[in-house]
Amino acid sequence: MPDSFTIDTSKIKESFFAECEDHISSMEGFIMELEENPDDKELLNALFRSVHSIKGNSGCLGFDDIYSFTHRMETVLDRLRNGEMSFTDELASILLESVDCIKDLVESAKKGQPAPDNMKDVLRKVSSLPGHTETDSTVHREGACHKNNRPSHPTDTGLLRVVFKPDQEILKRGMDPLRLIRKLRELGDPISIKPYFSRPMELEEIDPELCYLSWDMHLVSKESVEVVESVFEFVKDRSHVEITRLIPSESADDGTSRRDRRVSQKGHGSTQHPSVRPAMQSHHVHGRESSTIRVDIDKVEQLVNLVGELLITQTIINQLSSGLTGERAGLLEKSISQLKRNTMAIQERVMSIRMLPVGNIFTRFKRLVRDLAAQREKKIGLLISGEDTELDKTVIERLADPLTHLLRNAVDHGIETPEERRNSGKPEEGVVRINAFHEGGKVVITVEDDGRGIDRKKILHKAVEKGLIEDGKSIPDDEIYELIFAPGFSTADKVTDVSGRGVGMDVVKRNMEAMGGAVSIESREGAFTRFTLRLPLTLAIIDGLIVRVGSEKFIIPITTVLESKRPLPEELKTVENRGEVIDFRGRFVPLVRLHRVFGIKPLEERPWCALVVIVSIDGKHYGLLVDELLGEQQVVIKSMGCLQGITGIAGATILGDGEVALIIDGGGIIKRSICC
Amino acid sequence: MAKTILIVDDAQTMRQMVGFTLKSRGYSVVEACDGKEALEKLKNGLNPDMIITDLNMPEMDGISFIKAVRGLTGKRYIPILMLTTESMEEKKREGQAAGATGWIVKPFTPEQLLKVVDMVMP
Repeated sequence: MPDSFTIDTSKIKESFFAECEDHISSMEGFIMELEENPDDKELLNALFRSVHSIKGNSGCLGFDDIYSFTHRMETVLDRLRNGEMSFTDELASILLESVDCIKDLVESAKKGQPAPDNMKDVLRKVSSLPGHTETDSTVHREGACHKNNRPSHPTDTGLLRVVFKPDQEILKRGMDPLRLIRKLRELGDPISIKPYFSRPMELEEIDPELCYLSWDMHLVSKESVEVVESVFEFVKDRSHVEITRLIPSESADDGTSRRDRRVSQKGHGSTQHPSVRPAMQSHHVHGRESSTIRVDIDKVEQLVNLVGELLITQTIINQLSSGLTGERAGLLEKSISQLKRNTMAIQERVMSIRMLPVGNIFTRFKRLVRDLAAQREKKIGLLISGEDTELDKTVIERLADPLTHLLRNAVDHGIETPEERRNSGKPEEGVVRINAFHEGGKVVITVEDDGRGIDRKKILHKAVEKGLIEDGKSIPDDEIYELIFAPGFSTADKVTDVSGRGVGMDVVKRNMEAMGGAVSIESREGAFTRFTLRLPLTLAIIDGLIVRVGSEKFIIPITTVLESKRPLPEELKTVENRGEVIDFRGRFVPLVRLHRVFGIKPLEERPWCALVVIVSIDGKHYGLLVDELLGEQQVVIKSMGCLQGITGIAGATILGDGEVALIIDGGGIIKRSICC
Repeated sequence: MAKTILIVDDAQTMRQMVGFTLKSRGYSVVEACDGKEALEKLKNGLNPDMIITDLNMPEMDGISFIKAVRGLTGKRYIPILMLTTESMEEKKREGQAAGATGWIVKPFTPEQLLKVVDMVMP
């Protein structure tokens, strides 16, 4: 099948428009008849069918506005059908207005024009109907049934075992199991196919309409398990399908490492292929089992710790075996390196259970901002960076709401209308930026817009009005901004459906604090507003720079590191009240002697014989004196149990060689160094 | 000989869209406006290699149509694909229980349609 395939849609569009006209006029009739007979189910069904038909066709033809509008209308009608709401006069007029709106939408689509303005008003009315939740307002079209339509990345040839036990009734649904087996042949080379009878039986007992066969195949294929699985798309709900990768290839492993699917290990001793090694991964699809499972985070925690222990044991075995000679030594070495690879793989997988890139929630904001901007008639571009920053799943989930509030605020209050922007000499298109990164032992997420900034006077005025502060009192900027987080505080001139109700910001603050995080605001009137969310790192994985101080190893989060240098003696100064400073690109930054902070005997006290790592903490630069750099590594932050909360230490980690290293919390170090 | 596919949908647009796509691949196409008409055609000797049916139709809806075909001597094993919408996970199950072979989720692209047809075409 060729990759791209186009057909001339102009004729189809023509008949679509004609059909819409028919539907529209009959819909009007149905609604008015329903006014007379609100309980007539048939009328309601007919109305639903019309809306549904327009929706389906508009979706196929790419008329997204019609699609999303009819989708919402359909939702209302569905609730009506299910008896969740009743047919009132008010509803009838909203429905009639909706029909008018569809009419206008179709007209616009015919002329290739954008959606008419009144659509939003009608949509608002539809959305305001009882039970219509806000989540309905963004309609996401799923990519049809082809979740496996994405191109499969090329993988090395591997050996797959496919066990297929069709349900007995499969033939009665017009599905020929042999057809599926032939399909498999297109995906690879079956080196063995063993058919099985489900049970031995007498000839007269056999019902020719039932399927008694099952198959056990070994398939040499370059395809991933998912692609092979897709062959069974229509039968997997009722049949037993088990696909196992017997000989994995590196790249194929990558392809499956992030999957949510249940992974089970099942060996069928009786049918095991002679050349087959134990199953590595098995994708077991059976019946209506859920494809994800919920696991107590404690269990994962225990697993993380156990894997850490495993890693240590493996390193010890490795060291013990290094001096051995003889025939078996080579074999042992091979096995150990296999063990090492597997242990590492297990560690990675276990970690990945909990960690998700924060980008997972960012993507949904693209749609949010786009839709809101369109609704507000503003031009807004959303820039996303740092989406790979990994965060604990539960933290990510709880971030969605606060971030949504902030983005809505940015679009609604922050960014000006294109006209206002033009007048103040800004480009018409406003920019909202979300960024995520690690800093100072925290995960930081910023939401920034280049809009009108926060109006100090307005906040002050409002705060006085609400009795939050006394009139005439002078208040520093950050305290003024802090007022925004007060419950019920909103400076929006009028309440819109997206923001301005004053329920957002205090919720944001509360959510963040509940997670042990914080939120802060920076703003300049007419220039920008930036919200900074800081989340605790205790659950995160970081890239760390491993440094040595005396006999101890420490991890400095790599995101805070600017550079490392061996200073010249003349670059060091002692300044009154500031202590030791070091020249960093023409500026003097404080020098922090890590050995002093932690009370360790260093290998070297003279900075010009040791190394200084320049770090940025809360926007300020410091030089950390260390003995030696040992390399970079991704490390998992482990809780320190009862030792948690020591200033300057964000946590601990176990390095690949089994040694424990402490993770430095920059902000804490600075605090400690001041005390030293 | 070209394989024949029966398309059952009350929406002309959908019939055309599906029909165009299938014809471009050399399939021969027969259309019916609802389950009732399709069933008549089958009873009167039409013997397609596959049926593609919508679910929401006046006269006879897709589910009843699928059930009826599965009870029709000589036509009981024709693969039937149903056209559903993404919000109708339940319908998918209902259709399968009624005897549908597979499904295509609306909206779909011509490639997706052809891929699914290829998957179940005998």
